[in-house]
Amino acid sequence: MVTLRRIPINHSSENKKFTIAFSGGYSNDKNQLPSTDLTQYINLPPNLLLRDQSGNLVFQEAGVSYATVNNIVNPLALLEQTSTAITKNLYSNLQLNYNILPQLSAKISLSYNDYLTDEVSLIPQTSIDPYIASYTPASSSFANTDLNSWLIEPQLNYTKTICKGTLSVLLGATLENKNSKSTVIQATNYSNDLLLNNPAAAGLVTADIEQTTYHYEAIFGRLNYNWQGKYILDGTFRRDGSSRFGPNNQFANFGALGTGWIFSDEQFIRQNISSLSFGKLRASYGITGNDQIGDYNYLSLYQNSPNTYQGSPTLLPAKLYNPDFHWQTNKKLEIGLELGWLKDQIFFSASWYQERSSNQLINYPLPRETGFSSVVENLPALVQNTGLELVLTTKNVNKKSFKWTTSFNATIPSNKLLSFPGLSSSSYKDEYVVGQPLSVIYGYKYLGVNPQTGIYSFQDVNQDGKLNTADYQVLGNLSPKYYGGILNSITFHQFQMDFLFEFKKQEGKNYLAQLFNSFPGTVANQPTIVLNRWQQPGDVANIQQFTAGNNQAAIIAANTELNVSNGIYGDASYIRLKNVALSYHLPEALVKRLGLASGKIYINAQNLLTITKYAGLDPETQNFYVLPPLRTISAGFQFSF
Amino acid sequence: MKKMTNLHNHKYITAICLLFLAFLHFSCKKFVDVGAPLSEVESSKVFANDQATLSAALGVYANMGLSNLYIYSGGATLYPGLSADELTYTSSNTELLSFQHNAIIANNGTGIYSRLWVPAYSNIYNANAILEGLISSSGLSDTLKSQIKGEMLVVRSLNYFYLINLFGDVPLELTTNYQVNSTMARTPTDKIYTQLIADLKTASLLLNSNYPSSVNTRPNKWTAMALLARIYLYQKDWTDAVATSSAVINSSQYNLESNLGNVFLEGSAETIWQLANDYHNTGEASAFVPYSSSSTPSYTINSYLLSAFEPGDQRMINWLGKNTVNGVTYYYPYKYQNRSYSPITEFEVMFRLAEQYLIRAEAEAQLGDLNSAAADLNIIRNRAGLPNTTAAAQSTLLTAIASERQVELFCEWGHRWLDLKRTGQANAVLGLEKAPYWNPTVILYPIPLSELQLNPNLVQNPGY
Repeated sequence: MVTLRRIPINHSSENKKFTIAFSGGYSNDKNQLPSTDLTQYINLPPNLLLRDQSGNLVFQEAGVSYATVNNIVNPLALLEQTSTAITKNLYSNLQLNYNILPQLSAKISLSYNDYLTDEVSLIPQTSIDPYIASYTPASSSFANTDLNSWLIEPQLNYTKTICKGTLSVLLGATLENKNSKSTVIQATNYSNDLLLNNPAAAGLVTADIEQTTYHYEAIFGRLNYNWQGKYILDGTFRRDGSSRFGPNNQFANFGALGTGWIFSDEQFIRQNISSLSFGKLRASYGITGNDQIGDYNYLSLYQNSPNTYQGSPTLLPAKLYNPDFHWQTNKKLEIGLELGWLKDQIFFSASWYQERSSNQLINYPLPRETGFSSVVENLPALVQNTGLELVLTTKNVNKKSFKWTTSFNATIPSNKLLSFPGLSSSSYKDEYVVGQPLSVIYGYKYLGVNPQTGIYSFQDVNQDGKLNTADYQVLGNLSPKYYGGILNSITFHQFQMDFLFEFKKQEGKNYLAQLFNSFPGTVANQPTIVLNRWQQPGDVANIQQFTAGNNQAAIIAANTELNVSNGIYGDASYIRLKNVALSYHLPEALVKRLGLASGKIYINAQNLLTITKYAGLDPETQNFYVLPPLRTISAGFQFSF
Repeated sequence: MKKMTNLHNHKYITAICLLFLAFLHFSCKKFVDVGAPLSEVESSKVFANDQATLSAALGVYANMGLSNLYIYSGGATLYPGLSADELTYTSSNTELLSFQHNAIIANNGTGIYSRLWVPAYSNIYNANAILEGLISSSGLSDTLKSQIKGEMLVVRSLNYFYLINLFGDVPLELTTNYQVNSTMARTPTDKIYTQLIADLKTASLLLNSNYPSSVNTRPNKWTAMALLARIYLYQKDWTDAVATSSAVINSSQYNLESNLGNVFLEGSAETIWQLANDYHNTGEASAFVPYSSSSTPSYTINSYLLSAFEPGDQRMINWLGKNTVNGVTYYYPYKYQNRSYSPITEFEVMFRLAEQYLIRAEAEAQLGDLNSAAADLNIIRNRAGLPNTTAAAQSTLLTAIASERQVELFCEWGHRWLDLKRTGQANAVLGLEKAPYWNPTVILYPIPLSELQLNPNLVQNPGY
């Protein structure tokens, strides 16, 4: 990977009224990682024959083809299916600033960004199981995507002193354009693996071009009054427009009001609590908007299907459309306290927020009998997010040749569905509960493996002998209770070491959640915990009995009921040494001699250590069949001129 | 001097602010109107253009033939074939075994949900979208409008036919309005059949007897009537069944292939509608034909089906394949034979003439017209190299016709499963053959569990 980053060029005119600043960068990245996550094959039989004596890939054993046995694949064959992606990213920003008058300045910021991806995926004949080769021949695909965007932001700034305080007025606008275009060529039915890189050699070539445009514009104004640097009053107003909404719904108005009080500057604080170097109390209330859903969801569109019928081109409906969805509005109240002691050697901040949204933009899930699986809608529910965020930074040692800073941060979030009229007749009737978080665990209460029957058992709340949604209970919450990190930075002469511990307390999917992705008896390996399964009446076990496939009660318990119970959830809390960075800064003398502005050599490590009680692959990904965050070590150097 | 500068400044400031606001105002509304993406077409434009409307109709057919073992790529043959007494699965996939053991659970993800339910309703949506587009269109030629409307009515009716015969009552959706469809309750099958009969009658009037393209890869008048005849038979409307199947037979556009090996080929004279595919041969061939002569077929012909063939039946030679592995002989369905990627020589035969003869024979026998019934039956028997039937009385004739259906229409569109159910014989026949798995509630597949969770007005079938 090659990166040239942030080349800033500054210039100002002689009278300093006009300044130009330009910064830009370019990066080029080549990614050849395998396109399939091989972790999903973790349970293949350990003695599965993968290569024969001559070293060729094998796809059958004793006349039984792997593809016919529970879709076993040869994972080495998947490694022969290559995917090479070259990404080029250009970003640039130009700022022009003109001081028209001492109190009035005009500024315009222009940005341009271009992100190009070129991806070639090859599936050679040698990597395809001959059993399915007859309808899945060798193929390749060539995808070119171009995402470019430009942003224009003019601003006018005016300051005036009024009654010993400063009034700043800001008037601004934003114009944004994002274009994406992708061209995909799929070529299939190659007779020779050597020719996979050229679609001309393929028996069948299809091409598809997709294009989307997104426009966003806004005007905004801000008034800020600062009295003697102690009392601050702030108000903003904005009007946003987005192309993602249908006519009549494109524009919405938002605004916010905030106040602050730097009480550490008050006389009585200065005199009585001299150790307090900084103290600020702030509060704000604002309404912001969100348009982060896909484009064109309000239009009824047909798309070109890549499949022809008897050689003729075909069209298919693109998706369900909804002309009525509109801007999501979030109303947020926030109160914060910032304190600094001993000339800010100890710095503490706490903020509490409460955010409510009554029209979240979501992909509302639909039953497939509607023809599709979802449609974009504003959720007719009132959702609330509250939380407490704490930050504590201490400069423990601050000498010339030895510095040590610790920074601690934690978030305690909480989510609640305040109201949802019509919940019981919506798609969410079995998922959400009013008064509970959206991430509530709502289902059967898991009672363990019944020692007499050997089957997973659940609580029949209404004692009617049937297990159905009437027996659902609120059993837990999948959102973290709290999370955060501790960062320590130590500098000793030219050396610097940073290490970050991350912690999270949460419930997550446990080892039972994917245990029966491959039922026992199928040709798949099982984890050793199944050796302790229930085998006869009286056994107390964590895994239910194995059956020959005719025990409907056992099958339904393991396949259906367990997945809507809290039996598949457990403690997934962890403390992780997320990041360790060790660097050596080149000494001043050497830097000057080489003509550099600065230089450093570094070595970084990620995910070195995880402390957790979680039994499974990883408490973050919570899935046996997905690659967890890897331990990564990288090294490099950085010079600036 | 100072005052003047202040005034000057004020004017300056005001002028700049006004210019600024003017700039914003004029860029406002138009900027956020981006229209449709270049790679897609607005529906109103599609249905104002003949060629585009035709492309949309062809899209329905291309979509029907996609993906291995979906309903029209072998799914409607495989799953009911396992549920009845036609196929035995020789490997270990639990979902497939659950069909064979009549022990399907509502949470069955691949078979019930993604290969049967979802594609059927996806096709229904596509057809409804076109039917609605035709109503509100302007600028389309009348001949094209009638043609496409007739074709989409046939497609929609076919999909509902399979849904009700596999799942029972299902929501009857005749529009694309998702707000109505997402909370629709299950409609009784009788009401759906009434709709299908009305739709197919309309279609047979709108469609011509010749095909819009030169090959029979799109429905024509006789396709609509072939499905209508089948529905009359299922609804026990014998008179209409005789009349409608006669119309197809007497159209003289179709002839039974004398060579059984040609019946399922692309140029067969017997097919009334075949679903073309530009990308692969049939799903049945990929699933049933083993990839080498020394490998065990995944699905073998059930012993009950094997013993239903009379000695000398040519269909045993032409339509059954045979592999001997380690001294054991396995038979597999061999109606569709080409499992290679190309060339494409076989399309899915959606309707063929032989079924019309059998429909007419059964309806005539039910009406007491035993001579005609025997004559029709013998046409099918003779083609298969068998002598005329010896059955003479109504009950023995009906039994003979049922047996003939079993060996003529085996492993084809789930006919055996549907026949046993519509004649009320499923419990008697399969209850014995499939003991101890069988119980009377398994004649209907469960409504997919995820659908029940998302639609509060859907109720599950009994026994699940």
